[in-house]
Amino acid sequence: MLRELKNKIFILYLLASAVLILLPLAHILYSVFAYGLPVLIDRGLEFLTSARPGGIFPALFGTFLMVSLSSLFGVPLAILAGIFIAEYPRSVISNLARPLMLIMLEFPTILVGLFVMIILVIPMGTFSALAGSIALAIVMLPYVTTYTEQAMRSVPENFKEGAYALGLKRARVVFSVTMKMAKRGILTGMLIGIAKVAGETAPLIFTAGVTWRAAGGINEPTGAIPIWIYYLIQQPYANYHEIAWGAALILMLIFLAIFLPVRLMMVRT
Amino acid sequence: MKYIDEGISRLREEILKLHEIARKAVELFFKATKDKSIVRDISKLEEISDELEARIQDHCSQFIIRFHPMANDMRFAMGVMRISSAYERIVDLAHEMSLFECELREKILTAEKTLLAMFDAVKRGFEDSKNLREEMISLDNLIDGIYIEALEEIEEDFRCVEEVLAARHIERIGDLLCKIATRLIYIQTGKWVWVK
Amino acid sequence: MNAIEIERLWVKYGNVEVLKGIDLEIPKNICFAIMGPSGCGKSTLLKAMNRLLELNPDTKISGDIRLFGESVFRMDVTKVRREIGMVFQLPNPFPHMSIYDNVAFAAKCNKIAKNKKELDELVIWALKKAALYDGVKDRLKSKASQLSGGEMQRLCIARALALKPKVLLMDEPTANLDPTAAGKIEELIHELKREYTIIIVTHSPTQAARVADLVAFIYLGKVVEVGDVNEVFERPKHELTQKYVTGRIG
Repeated sequence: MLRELKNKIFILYLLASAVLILLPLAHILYSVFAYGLPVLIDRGLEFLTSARPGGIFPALFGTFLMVSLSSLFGVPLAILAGIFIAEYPRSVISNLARPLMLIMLEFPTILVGLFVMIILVIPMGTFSALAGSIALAIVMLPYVTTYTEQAMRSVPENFKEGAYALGLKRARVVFSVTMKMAKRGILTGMLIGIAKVAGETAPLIFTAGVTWRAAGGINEPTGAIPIWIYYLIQQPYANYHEIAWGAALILMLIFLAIFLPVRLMMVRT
Repeated sequence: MKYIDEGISRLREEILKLHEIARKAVELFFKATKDKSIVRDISKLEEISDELEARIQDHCSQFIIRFHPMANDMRFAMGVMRISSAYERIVDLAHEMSLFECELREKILTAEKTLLAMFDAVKRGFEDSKNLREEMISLDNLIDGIYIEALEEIEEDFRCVEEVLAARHIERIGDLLCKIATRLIYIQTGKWVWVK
Repeated sequence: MNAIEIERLWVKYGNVEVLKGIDLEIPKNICFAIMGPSGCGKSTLLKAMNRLLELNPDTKISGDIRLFGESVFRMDVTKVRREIGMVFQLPNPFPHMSIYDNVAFAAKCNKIAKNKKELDELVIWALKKAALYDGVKDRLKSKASQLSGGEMQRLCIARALALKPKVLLMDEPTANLDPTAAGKIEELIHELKREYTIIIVTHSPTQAARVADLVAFIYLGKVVEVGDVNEVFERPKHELTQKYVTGRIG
């Protein structure tokens, strides 16, 4: 009897803990939808496409621009780095790179922004989309690299041995066999990196600048959705707050649109 | 399995060769009663059959060890081992008889046709043993009849002890061929039937 | 000339001696079986022949292995692996490639065929040699991962044959197959050994008895006995061999 009671209490406790953890997330989702959806419905498509006050097009464009550029810079580099670490795990570089990647995963991203500011923004004399992209690339790097390395390492030895036994050279084995078989994992890493940087605010403050404009060119200050939300919330106007909620919803939708498929893909494997 | 089939057909080839040698030995024995020079050929056949029998035994055991045959393949491999011994015995008996100095009476020599017919029935039996039992029983009864009649004649008119031995050996050869037939029927059907 | 000659081969993984002075002569166009209990070094011996051991930097190898008189350690390693093909215990066709590509890929990279037409012919020839063509001729473009275990293994044999090797190494090729599929592979070995030298590692002495012409018994990294298959299984010279083939050890 006592044991049954203890069992029930334990299960109740587990349930309560789970609910407690899910509560904040549920609340965030709820709030963003509850406050943001009316704004979107009210203002319609114009919200997304208009550059006039009331629309968030510049910020949207800026986000897309900088995320794309950062992927262009960061993804190939990170994938190659991940492949190197996986193929030469005992080299000096790999032994340094592995802990470094882990550190960078948790690194305060505002410091990344500062770093890029010092090496790029100040010499250029201006905030720019370029600087913002580079900062985002640096933030993205550890995610893509570690996922790539994991994916390459999890390809069974059997297949690699088989490829070598066919007289294939190392580069051929790595790129035509191992990498192709690790495709799913590498893609996952890439998408997770992109989802992460799409919502980053701190690295952009000192690099892309806090600005309304859509990019005139990549060497000009550029807005982005998270930055914009940050800016709008600080204004005293209720109208601006509404726009902020709308933008928040858009950001959440972008994030979910990347993240949910990635998660589903990972579950399938 | 192709390689098992190849093994079986090789054994088959060898045992049929031994069959031919045994038949030849018996045929030559009857010829040798009129022409003594043939005895040499029978001696040669006896050497060949000894060697072939040893080789067949080896091949059978190797076949069994290597391929673990089952069912009819197994019955065949084991059966061929026994059958080859029987053939070798037949050649021995024919050879021994060919060395007899004494002239054998007509009654004994009438067994030639029947014995050779038994050989041919057995050879057909390697392909299909359906009618083998009936054929062998009737042929063996003839041989038994000749044997008994020969002994009666000898009792009345004794010439030499080798005649008795020859009659006995001929009856024995008939017996051995029946044993071979029994085993062939077992190989093909899995059933033991008496050929007597 | 012997297909493979192994002279005083020592192999160490780190500090562990796996092969302790192996001497073997393997004539051509036969099936040579290497049998022994688990962990005695059979797979290591096989992988030494096509220099696959070099993939692991901890391995130390000394001694010589000669392919038709030429030392494999003095040949270009990709040439060694072309001439000495290998089939593994766990069938490992490239799952992301089609059946056609699996056979064609290495042949293309090694420049075995000069143009598309020659490559097509080579693929069909290799699949026929591996007794797989009839089963897959309508679906050459479908993914290799859709094949059954036995078919996958024959595909691996086909892609090794496409490189026109002289020797084919097989590391327990039927260990992961059902008996019917295993039987097909054994029948294939009987066919192939007329043209190629096949060296098969097996943990099953009965399999060695079925497929091999010559058998070597390896125990704890050393060669105990080598001989004709009929001799080794009917009247082995060494007591250890007798214990192994009668199932008393291993």
